[in-house]
Amino acid sequence: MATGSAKPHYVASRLLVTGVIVSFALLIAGLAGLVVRGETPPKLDWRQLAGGPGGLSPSMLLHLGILALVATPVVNVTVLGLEFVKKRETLFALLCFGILLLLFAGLVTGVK
Amino acid sequence: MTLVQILAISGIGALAGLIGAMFGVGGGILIVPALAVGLGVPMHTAIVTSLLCVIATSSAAASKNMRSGAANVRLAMMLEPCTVLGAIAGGFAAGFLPGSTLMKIFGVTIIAMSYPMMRGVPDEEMPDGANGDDAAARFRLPGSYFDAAAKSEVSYETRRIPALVGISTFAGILSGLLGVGGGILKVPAMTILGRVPMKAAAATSNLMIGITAVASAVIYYGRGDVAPGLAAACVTGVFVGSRTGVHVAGKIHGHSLRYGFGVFMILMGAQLLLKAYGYWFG
Repeated sequence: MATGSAKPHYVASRLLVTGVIVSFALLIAGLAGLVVRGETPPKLDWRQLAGGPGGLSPSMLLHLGILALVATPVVNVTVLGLEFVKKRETLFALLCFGILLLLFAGLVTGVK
Repeated sequence: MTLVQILAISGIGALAGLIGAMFGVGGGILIVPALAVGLGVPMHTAIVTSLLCVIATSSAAASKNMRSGAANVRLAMMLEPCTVLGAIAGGFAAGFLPGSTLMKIFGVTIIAMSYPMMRGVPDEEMPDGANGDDAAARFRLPGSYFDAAAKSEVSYETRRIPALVGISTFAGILSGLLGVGGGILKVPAMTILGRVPMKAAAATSNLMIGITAVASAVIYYGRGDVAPGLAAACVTGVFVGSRTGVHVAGKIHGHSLRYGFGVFMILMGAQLLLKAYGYWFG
């Protein structure tokens, strides 16, 4: 039996591709910058990022690339949740937003 | 970082991505041992690097699988909350465990996982019209997709949702604790217990592992375990390798290759255990 689950999720899938391309480009640019400058980037400090981009150094490009990568599935779940809301599928919309809530809780407690 | 270092790490990532895509497993099962044993990277850093690679490969493949309809999005969202909870628990637990303990757990796990890898999963499709169970019907979890190889629409109904939730939760814990995708557990579970066709199970698992990996990656990230240069080089390598592996996978058949990979996993597990107990150089 074919159902809505088999219908392609074009918006969500496009966003996934975009997220991967953006993060890939940032990571490549960051790596190229590291080679040119001969630097080893420091480990991520969230407070550094919260303080602003601080110039697009190779290290910052890498961090932004990694953050874009991590954000990609999160955006995907958000879009899927909105699609389920649009289709009035309350259970699956709630599941999507529940997942987002859990991811957010993990992020907050992890950063602390 | 020098160009040579970046190329070496990317090479490891590419190889992991290639082999992972060929055998339908996440690269993590290869990346963690390669980084921890081969390059002497701290275990927590190796794990989060692997998680980031899992996110990259999952996102790239999930896009295609969602468009084709092979990924059962409803089933993924049904299983994912408990999987994410497991991943968060695993991510936090890893923070309390020393690297050597994680190595031991990883070593034992990878050896245990070699069995389902060598055994493979049945590549049978559920016949059209076969019934799922009550839970699957209540939650509207049937799916269908167009199988390009068979040139026909494959329809199926999912069974044993509670069992799938349990196994996915365990896969989530493993993902958070060890940096593996967990597809090696979820795909056989969906196929054998859930009666989901192999292609749909692999596509659904692939969609899930990226979301699961985010849950624990942010915890490692917050603890400062991410080495950005290492992660970037590895992610780009894995991405290139997995794209190549997808094309190679279609041309490869044979249980002997799968068996060979299983033996390779046992050897890597043994290496990790030897290193954890101080019997490995480097």
